[in-house]
Amino acid sequence: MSAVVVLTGIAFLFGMILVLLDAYLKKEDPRVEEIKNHLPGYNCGSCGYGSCEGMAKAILENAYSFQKCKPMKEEAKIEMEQFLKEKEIIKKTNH
Amino acid sequence: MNLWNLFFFSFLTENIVLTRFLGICPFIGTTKSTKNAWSMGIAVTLVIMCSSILTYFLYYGVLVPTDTTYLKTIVFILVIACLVQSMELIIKKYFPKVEKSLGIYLPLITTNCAVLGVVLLNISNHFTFLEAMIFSIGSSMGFVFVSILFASIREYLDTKNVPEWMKGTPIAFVIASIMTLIFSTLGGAL
Repeated sequence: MSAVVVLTGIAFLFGMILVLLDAYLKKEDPRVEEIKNHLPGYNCGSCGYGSCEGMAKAILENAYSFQKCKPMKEEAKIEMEQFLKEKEIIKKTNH
Repeated sequence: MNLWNLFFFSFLTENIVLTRFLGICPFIGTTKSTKNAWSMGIAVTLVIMCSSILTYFLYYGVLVPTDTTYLKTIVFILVIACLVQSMELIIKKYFPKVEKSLGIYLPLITTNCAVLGVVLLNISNHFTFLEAMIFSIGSSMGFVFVSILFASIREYLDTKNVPEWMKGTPIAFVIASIMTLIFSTLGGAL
């Protein structure tokens, strides 16, 4: 009986530590999530960034990376450009 | 056994990699360059130190009083897994380049038997806390030392004319066996 209590207790303690640490360290840029919502979300990787999340991070560094997205339709790309301009991720000097 | 002897014993003559044959996987896998060997060595050292402190107190503070010492293996694995996961989170956040260069070998420290070996040896040899610390420092430094040595030899060999069929891992295995021969004779020197 004591074995069950000890093992469960220790496992629970370590689980809590990991959850708290994860929550503390995973404060991401909120813009990544917003950009991800504008991407198709297939995680196909044909852009070369591995996943839509990788693409979103790449867009933050170089806004026009979204042109590399293959499944995205032309209208969606125009929408994306507008969204990025709104959020000032595409700066006017970039043109 | 005095502390200096214990350190020397765990560092060289009973080297964790070359005479106990623990932790061979990262020893072969992450020694393609000295830079990788350094970062892997530091990561393993951190995990060994933290886990031997934690497991020592868990064993004598929780497991012995509740008479559940037969749980030590699974509890120690829990401690090591938790430590490696938290270290991976920290490295991912602050050193993304290290994370990329080590790749799968970083979460695989969990199953690195060198770590579990050191913490179990601490308990089975009935070390005091100070002795356990010295033994862990010696063993992890032994791991780093041997990895760096091995990585430098492999880097040097990259510039040499190795036969096509021996290039890469095969020649590395031969070097590892020669190093083992050298290290096994060191025990007689003391």
